[in-house]
Amino acid sequence: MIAFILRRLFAVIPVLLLVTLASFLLMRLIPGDPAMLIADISASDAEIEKIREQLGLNEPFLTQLLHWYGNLLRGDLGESYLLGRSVTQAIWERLPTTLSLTLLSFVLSTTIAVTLGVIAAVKANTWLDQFVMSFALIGVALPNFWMGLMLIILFSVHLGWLPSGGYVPLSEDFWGWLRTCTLPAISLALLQIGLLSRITRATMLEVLQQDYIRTARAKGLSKSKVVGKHALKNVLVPVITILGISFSLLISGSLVIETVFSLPGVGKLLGSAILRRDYPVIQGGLIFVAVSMIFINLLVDILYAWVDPRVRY
Amino acid sequence: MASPVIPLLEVRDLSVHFRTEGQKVTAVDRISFDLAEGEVLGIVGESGSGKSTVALALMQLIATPPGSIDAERLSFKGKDLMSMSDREMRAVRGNEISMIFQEPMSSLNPVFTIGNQLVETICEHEPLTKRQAFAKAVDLLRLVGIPDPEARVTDYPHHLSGGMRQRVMIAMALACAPKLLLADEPTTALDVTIQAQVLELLQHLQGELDMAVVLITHDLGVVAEYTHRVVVMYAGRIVEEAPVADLFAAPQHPYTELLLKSMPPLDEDLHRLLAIPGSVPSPTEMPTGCRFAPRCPYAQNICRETEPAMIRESPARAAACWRLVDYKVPA
Amino acid sequence: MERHPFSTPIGWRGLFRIISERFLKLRNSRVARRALRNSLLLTGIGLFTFVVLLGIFADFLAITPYDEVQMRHRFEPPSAAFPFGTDNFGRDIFSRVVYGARISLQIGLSVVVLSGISGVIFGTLAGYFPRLDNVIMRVMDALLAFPEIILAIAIAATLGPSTANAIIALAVVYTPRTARVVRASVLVIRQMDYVTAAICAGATDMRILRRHVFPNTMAPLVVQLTFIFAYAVIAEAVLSFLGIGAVPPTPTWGNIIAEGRNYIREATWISLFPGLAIGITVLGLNLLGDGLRDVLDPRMKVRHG
Repeated sequence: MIAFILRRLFAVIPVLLLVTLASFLLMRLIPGDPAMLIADISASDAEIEKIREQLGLNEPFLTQLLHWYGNLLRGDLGESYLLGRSVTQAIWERLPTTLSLTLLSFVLSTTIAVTLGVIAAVKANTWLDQFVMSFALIGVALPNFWMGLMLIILFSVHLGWLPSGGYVPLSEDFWGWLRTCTLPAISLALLQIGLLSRITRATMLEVLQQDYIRTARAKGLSKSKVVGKHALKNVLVPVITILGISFSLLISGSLVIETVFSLPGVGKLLGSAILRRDYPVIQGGLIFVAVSMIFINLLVDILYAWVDPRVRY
Repeated sequence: MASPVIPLLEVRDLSVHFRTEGQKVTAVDRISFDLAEGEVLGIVGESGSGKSTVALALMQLIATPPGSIDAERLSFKGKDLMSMSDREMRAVRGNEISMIFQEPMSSLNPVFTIGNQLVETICEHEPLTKRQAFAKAVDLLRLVGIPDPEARVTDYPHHLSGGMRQRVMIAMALACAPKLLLADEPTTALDVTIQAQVLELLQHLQGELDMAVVLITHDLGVVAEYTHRVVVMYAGRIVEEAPVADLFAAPQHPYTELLLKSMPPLDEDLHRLLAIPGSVPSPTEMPTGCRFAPRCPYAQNICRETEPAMIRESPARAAACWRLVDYKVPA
Repeated sequence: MERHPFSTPIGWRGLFRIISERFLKLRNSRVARRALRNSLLLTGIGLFTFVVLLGIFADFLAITPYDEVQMRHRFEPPSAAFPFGTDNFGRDIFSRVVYGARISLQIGLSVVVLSGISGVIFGTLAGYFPRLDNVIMRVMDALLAFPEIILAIAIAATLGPSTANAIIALAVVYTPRTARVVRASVLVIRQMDYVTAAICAGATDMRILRRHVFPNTMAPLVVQLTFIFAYAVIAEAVLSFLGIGAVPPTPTWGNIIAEGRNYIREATWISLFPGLAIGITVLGLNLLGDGLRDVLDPRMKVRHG
């Protein structure tokens, strides 16, 4: 197992290099001169030239790249133009919000989706199945930021059950955190529930056809035990492989959802950076997200090997 | 069977239908047979003859819908299986009636250890603790001839060969000392050398535990070697029933006769081997009259028009063929 | 848009003949019959055609111009005069949604065409020429390491807000998906006997690609492109919502929702209707994609209720 993990870690290195290189190159595409963006409108040519010097923009391309990689290795993603602090620090401060939101949404969506998918498969081709699957199709079709707005209208404005924005850190008050995070988490979860419940249903239908399910029934096990134990674990194995994609979608979704619900997370940070052209923050956020995704996928691989005894590592 | 006591298993007019895309297909059509305690009955037939469906129907494991089971009587130890509740039937399955399947490679759940799967069966039917059940699982693996059972019990199915997996399946089926074992082509998927080992094991355990066995196979060699009595099925119907020695000595139904002729004899050249022309009719296009008539070398007009009934020569011997009627009851 | 086959009234059968024969090079009546029996596919085509017709006939449907400011009619709820209500400038939301359909579909179609072309180019090169395979696919993998929307946002934010930049960003993001599909089919087809036979007969690479490889990659590619169309419609809305898509006053569903967000409590209708329009379009495209997949390749089928 250790060797397997090491081998996977090793395979990640070229992808990391390519991803960071892509982020670096992307920032070279910015139309115009980055120095002009930072400098005051009234700045003289000499002042702009000084900023160019500071940013290392006058160095040869390769030197800039190496310098940039050097900083990256030390966890230095550069300085924000506008926040007056380093990008790393800005991300770090906002990470707990995003993490707690995505985790809550992840737990919600996975449990609901697997339950719905299993029910739909067991009751295949009944009205219940068709109802659940229609719900899933609609959940996939509606954009999550719009769902967020509609949930605010329904639950905050009309019913007044939950706040429409703001954030209470988990470390301060669990119930406050849950109240502020529930609507965003549900908005994020709907797409997941749609995708995952359809996959769960299809996989479950396939698993229920397998010989070992017949064996389990022939042993005299109850239907709930056959479905809940023998079938479910076999369904979870392929479902685990798409958890990486799930996380990727949750993280992308959190970017917009945090903006809609004014949650002070990494997504909101990126959203404001985009509006205010704070390029170091955009670049840093991009790298941060891509690198997290690479490691989440690695984790999913390891989890998969751990759950499925047939995978050789 | 002319037995004065109630037979262990009594099947009367069992039919199994499947409904697919608006069509009703009959997989098993009004079959009847008995089974005494400790008896080994062979059910022989080509693929598509409905023999596996019979076993699944006895276990009440046909999915309904699309399937449906009809029977005048389907009783086990005098109790009617058809009228049992789901809970009662579960107490029978894996406990009093067990089943082993054709595909050992796919019949064990790949994500649980074989120990887990054995213990689960034991605990379902017997009031044992996990620890006791685990000890019993090891004993069972030893019983079916798995070397080093203490180590194997924590293995996953993919660690074992096909023959070993079928032994595990047998251990699981025998876990609660069933009165009846349904073995559906238990060796078809295995290598020839392994086949004999597994069948010897089954025969040995049958004698030791004194259980009745229904051995479903397409291999007449297996039937000759390991069964007491044989039922021959063709296209969902029983066409002949006989004690094994009688069947091989004097088959009454043309289908049985041709099956016997198509067996590779051990001492002769293979080029004499006879194949039955044609194939089993599809269940959606059953011929009227005798179902074997299109392939039968002796077919008369009456065979193509009217289906023959079972003609019972003696309590243990019967066949469904118009030729028998001509001999016994000249029209 | 005008020459899109969905725009001419030719009836269901004619439509399927065009899809199956011209689009997918399938002169197979079994496929067509399967398509006619597939109610998901029919529903998908129906919904999508509806939206396409809205976009095409936007000029006729929108009685009030989409950008006409009527300060007397600010924040009017849906009524006979303004079926979807009006916004903070008194602009007719119905007109804006209908024109938004045109913009959103144009963006979606452009993304499909661009990512389709670049996917075919890169996928074929990678699948047909083993020496290029590693390089191309590693780059594609690197692109796939970014969550799609985030990469699109980063590219669009860097290039600056405009419709063209949004299209470029999305086409870049979805190219790895199409390239993978094309590469997979090319790899399979390259091994086929008839391709070997053509090589032996002295056919040039270009000829083999054109005659044998491309026609056979079409079916899976079309299925994939249908889903990409759906993703692109949602992704475009996200970009517009964040202010890096098409620039106002050009109405896209995303920026109508974004503008309505500030008045969501008092004038929910501003954001409500464009969201529903996105939902109908994406639902239609997803059903269409599922249906096409079922019809073209029953083995890939995900079973539905």
